[in-house]
Amino acid sequence: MILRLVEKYACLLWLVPALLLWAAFPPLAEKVDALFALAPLLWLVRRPGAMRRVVIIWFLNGFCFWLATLSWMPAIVKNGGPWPLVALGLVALSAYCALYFAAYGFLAKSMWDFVRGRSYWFRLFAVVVVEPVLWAGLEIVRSRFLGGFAWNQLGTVAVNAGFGAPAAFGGVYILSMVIVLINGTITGVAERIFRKGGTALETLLPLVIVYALYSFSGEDVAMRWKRYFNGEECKVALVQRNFPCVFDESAAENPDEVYSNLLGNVSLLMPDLVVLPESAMAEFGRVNGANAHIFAENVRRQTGATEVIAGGTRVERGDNWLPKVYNSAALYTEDRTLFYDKVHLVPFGEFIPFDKTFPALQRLAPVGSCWPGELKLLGDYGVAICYEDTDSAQIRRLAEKGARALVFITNDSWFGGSHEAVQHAWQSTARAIETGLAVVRVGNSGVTGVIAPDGAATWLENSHSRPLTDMRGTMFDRIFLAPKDGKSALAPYVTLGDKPIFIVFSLFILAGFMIKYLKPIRKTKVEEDGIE
Amino acid sequence: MNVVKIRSGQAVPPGVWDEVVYAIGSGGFEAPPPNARIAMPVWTPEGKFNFLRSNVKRLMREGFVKYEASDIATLRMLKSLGAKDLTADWTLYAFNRYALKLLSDMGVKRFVASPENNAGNLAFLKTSGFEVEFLSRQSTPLFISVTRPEAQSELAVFRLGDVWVTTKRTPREWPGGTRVDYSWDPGENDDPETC
Repeated sequence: MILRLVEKYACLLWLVPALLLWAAFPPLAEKVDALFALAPLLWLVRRPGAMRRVVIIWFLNGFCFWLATLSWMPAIVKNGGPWPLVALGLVALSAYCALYFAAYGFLAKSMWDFVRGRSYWFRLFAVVVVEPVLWAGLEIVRSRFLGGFAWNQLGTVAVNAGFGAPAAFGGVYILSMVIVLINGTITGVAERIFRKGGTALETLLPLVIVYALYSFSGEDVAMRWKRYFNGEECKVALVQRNFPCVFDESAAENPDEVYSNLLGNVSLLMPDLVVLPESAMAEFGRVNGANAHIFAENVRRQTGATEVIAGGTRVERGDNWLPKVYNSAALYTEDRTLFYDKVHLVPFGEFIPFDKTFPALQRLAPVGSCWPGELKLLGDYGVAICYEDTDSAQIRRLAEKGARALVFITNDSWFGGSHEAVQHAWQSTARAIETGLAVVRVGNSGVTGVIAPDGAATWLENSHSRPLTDMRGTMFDRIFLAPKDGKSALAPYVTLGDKPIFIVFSLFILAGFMIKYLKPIRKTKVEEDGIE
Repeated sequence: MNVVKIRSGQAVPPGVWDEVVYAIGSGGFEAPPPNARIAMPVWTPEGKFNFLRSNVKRLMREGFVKYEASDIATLRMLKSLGAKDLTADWTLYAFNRYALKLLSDMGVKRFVASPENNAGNLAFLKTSGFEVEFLSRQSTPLFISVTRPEAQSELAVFRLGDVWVTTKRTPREWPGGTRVDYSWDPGENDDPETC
């Protein structure tokens, strides 16, 4: 009776999984929701029924989830962003990301249509392996395809809940697999209760797998982390400046005075490194300009630090003598200045696609059209600017190049007053476990903090124990640098990358394609042969 | 119980101490001695409260488990960060049974009696049933200000972190007390000046 009612009015409940999933991420951050948010949708794909209905429900859930979770985007309007473009961008991006939900619905439904009526071992394999791999594979594609949108993978919930150890082997995607596996297990329990299908094995086996995975990876992460304790310590002072967004021209402050207050007394703590946010040097000109050097020198003198890292724009003359602008980070020491130019630029923010071919398009880029740089280290540090900290592949390459710690600088004041800064910080937490390196993160308007190689994050917080955003603050902490010998402390994921998961995903897609399309062709041919 | 309170930059004075209380500044401070009880600064500029909070979190991570609150704000902060072993310095003003009970309910296990107590109230605190520490020596600050105070005779004025402290040049002493407080003494490097 209940089941019939649910089936009859199921269309009214289609928003529930999207709602639960949205709640799992900031601003609510009810992380436990992620463990069962997808269960109703997995129930749908496991049931016989029309493919079209399943795909539409998955798409609508995806669209609602993304629309809600990216609801920080309109915050840019109050900073002068053109609202028609912002609204269009939000809807288009949500719809694009929802396509991956729809694709998952399609692939999973196709798989279950094949599994249904076959041996129980097919079902078990589908629950334990195929469902999680399909999800993780699609997340990898979303994070890479067309520049990638590596945002809010399911696994980020696990990392920020303190359950990120397996990321040392499979990145945030293996954690997504774990969450889908748990969702699938809960779905299986519901199936057993309501439909008398399945067995206890498909409940127990995932639990054993999850337990074994966390035991093994937890040991591994702890073992590598221990190697740091006798290693070289680096004392860092992090400055969350909270200067106004570039659109705001009304602010008139003396930056020297502000920094002097923020860095006052930090010298007592004797920091080795002072990190300022992305674009911090914009108040003093270009990062390679004289004023920036003077300011960095003052910071070093005031704090006693030997190194200062700060973001800003760098300009150099191109081949045709036209200026080329880079979004850069600079490392200032007593005797040298090194630059890193951002590689992974944000489309429609730092450049417009094809604007180098059609220069007229460059006027549409809000902060001017930037050029991508070359991936390299900044001294001992692997630096990522803004959105780059979501790109696990790029961060892995920095680790491979010998980074001893990671420094992420960002300026999220564009979306000031929204939960974007916290959501952005969530994305970067996994990078510490994925590489086995300590992470120092400084956001102009937040979130600022350090992340230990085991994923334990210490954020600069407000008095409500929440990450400090849209306010100024200074933080001091100690990190341990990875040994200079290179790769002994690096996580296996640095070498493995996403290849294992993506290869299995590709094999499943290939197998699905062959089963769905080649088998009927062969049948038809046999039938034709029979006729002959 | 013999307790000594010092501030960042001061060395632990010779003697047998059951506990060393180490006052940190709102801006920065030198590394505390091992096993010290970390005392919160009396005054923290609003803009530096987050810095203080992050420093306390770091100290907790580094193994310091004993803390001393200086006011309700720092007490709330310490509790929100999960500190369990909490005491309250004299600046929390636990003068009567109601205040003692309130602070005790908030998790404070020991209080330092204020130097502003009169003899009658000190006698009450001794028999109050709560664990109260009594000062035996302190350069009690008479005036704490953000700006430098006007000149006064026979007083020492010195800079302490973000504030100016005015105190008598000779420390006050109370016989029978158990806490020696050096944290308000002008240090050698503080360049005290008689105004």
